[in-house]
Amino acid sequence: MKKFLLGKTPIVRSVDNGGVSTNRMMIDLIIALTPIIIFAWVKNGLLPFINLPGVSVLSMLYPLLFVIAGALTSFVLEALYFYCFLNVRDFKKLVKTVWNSYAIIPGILLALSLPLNTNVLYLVFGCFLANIVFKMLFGGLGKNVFNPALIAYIILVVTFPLTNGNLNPTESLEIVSGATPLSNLTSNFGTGTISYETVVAPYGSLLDFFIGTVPGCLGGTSILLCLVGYIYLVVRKVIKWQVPAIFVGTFAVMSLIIALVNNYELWYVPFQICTGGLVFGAVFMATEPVTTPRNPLGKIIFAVGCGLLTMLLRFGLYPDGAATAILLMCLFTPVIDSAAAKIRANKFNSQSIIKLSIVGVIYVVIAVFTVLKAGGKF
Amino acid sequence: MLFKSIKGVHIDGRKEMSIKSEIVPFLNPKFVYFPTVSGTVFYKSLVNVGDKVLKGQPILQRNDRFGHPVCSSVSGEVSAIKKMWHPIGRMVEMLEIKNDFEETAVDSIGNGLVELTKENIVERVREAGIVGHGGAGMPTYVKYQPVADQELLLIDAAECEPYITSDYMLIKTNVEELIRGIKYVLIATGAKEAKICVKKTKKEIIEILENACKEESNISVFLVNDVYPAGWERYLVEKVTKKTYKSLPTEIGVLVNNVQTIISVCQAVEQNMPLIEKVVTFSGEGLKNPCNVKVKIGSKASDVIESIGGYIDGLGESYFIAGGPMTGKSIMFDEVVITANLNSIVIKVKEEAQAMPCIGCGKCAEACPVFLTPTEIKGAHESGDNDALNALNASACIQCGLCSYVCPSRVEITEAVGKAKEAVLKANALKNARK
Repeated sequence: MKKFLLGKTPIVRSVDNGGVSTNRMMIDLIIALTPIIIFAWVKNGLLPFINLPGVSVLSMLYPLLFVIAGALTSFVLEALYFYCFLNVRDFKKLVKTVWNSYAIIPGILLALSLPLNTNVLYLVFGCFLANIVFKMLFGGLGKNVFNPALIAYIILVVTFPLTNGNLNPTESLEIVSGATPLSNLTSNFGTGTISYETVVAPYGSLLDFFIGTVPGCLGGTSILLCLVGYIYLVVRKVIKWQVPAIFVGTFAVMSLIIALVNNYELWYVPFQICTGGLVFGAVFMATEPVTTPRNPLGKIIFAVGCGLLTMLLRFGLYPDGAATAILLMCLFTPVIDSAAAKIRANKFNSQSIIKLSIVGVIYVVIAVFTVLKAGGKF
Repeated sequence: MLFKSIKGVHIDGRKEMSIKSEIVPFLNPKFVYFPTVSGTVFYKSLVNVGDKVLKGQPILQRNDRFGHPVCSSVSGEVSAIKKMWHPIGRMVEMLEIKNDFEETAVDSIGNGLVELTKENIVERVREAGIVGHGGAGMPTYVKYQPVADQELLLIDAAECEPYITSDYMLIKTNVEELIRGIKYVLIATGAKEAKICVKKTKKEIIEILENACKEESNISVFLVNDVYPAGWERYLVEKVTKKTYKSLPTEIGVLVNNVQTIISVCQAVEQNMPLIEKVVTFSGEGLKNPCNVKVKIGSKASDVIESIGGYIDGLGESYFIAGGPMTGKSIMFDEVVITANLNSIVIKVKEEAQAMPCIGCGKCAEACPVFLTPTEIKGAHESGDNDALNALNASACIQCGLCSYVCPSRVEITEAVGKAKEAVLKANALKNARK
């Protein structure tokens, strides 16, 4: 008579049969970010170094060092936390634990979201906020309520004077005194005219916006590379295609409505999409598994809400919109999750219809308010 | 989502392991065992210790309104009543019969049914003690006695769990018996049409089945996607009829039967042969020669495994699963008795794995065939919120195992939902009792 282990069925796992594991998902995320990191370095460091005189080697390396600093700081901070407060003393185990906690990802994302001339000390403080305050103090991997990189970014932008450092040496020569495309749009909205000439042309063509050779944050300007990352992540089954697509799609529809209502020409739609880190946020932030809803219906509701709020917030105080919108929607993740789970399980009963109608009404109100605000009615 | 029909998830089947060889017979067990209690079903013993029994002789009678017998699979002597391991995962009292290897059968075996009427066939099925060959082991004759005539008979040949290939091999070797059995069941249920549901990737048996059905006007082959749980009753009924039902497919005039059940019906009708033998898949990386074995019901799994070559050399920590690897039961010892509703034994070697925390990716909710959200159910159970569990429909969980299967962090989410389901059913029963 042979003795066996007692286990729980199912005893087979997709992870053992070539399915995607959590470890693999995080590695793939870093791989998807790599082209963006390299582009950020080339555009903001290497090209100015090559094309302009008087750019120091340190300035050339700065973008790359900035991202690496973000990753390293996050890693070291979490390691210190594990060492001091969670009693992980053995060095090898410490490295393994911090790696399994995916510490460097918020650091990299935060570095890529910040304006490129940001002082590295602000980044260090940001990493402290992201990794320690909003992740480890909440319980570590899987337990954070806010997207660590996003909330650290917002706190930094609100607290410190970061908005001046958006242009690399090649850009600051010709462009409208130090403004990013979006802040330029906002100022024209208030006082000037909104047309292709005043909004897009100072920075290049729409193609420039797509490739990313325009001023903006360190990494989020290249829509092209964000799309490459998106396709990679979907193919590798790390994210589902729906959330970024519906997010950007809702936003596109809103910008189309606004363009039609206000008689802007159609350049307005791709311009809005290609600025403000929208695509970067949609692909890398709105798909963050821990803080976003956990069932298909919840994700769709979340994505639509993000799209609507981003458009609304573009007419607010901080023109970027996407980061704040995603963070606001994350606050509602538990509610959306719970409601969507109940709707999914019970299909078409009266409760489901009531809940969906409430969401629908809220979204329509937001959309209408946004269109009115965009038309200057508020 | 809201309106979608069940998609299913493709699972690596590992079926090649056990179809390399023919069905191996193991028809000479020294002892066979028949449980006197199976879950919540009690049996009355018709024999005593010391009695001589013949092959096919009824030795137990089900002690409730489903009065069907269990017949001895060998001739010999009732040698003891002792506790043995049952595939349900517990030791239960069983009748032990010592085989005299004479294979002396009762006289009634061999008499083909002359008048093929609905009542006669159903009675034959009852007397033969035929039960459903997978899952709960429901008495088959009861399924054939619904209120009205059925419209459609579905034969479940999807075999969606990994490793199991008993139906595959049976179709290769016994397809004529299957077709004849289908015809008898059509008479018994009044159904007008039968569809054999098989996965679209099994080209070899699709060809065999289509050839066998060529002459039959009302038997055809229906192809299903190569996903799990394609063999789930509700999945098949919804895919074939595009309609849904509340609790039993007979509500929409459909009946679903297993391949082995139908073959047993054929043998009962043509030879008055009771259910005493069946084909069981013995597979898994822990076995030296995985294959399908034709066993006498009541044999010990350890005896069968020994006869087919035993375990691999140097078998380390592993699991013994009675049933399929997704829904079966993990049992600590290999001396489990093969009952009529067991269709496989899987020996799975333990994988070196590390569980991670749940990262909220939502793959479990995506995979669920009943559209539940396992993470919410786990949370509601941990906070003891029974109202939320009811709203989340936790009691609808079919314990298919897909949520744990797809989880990238190896969270034991199926177990958590199972516990939640148990808790909410108990709470609901308590609340109803108080009313």
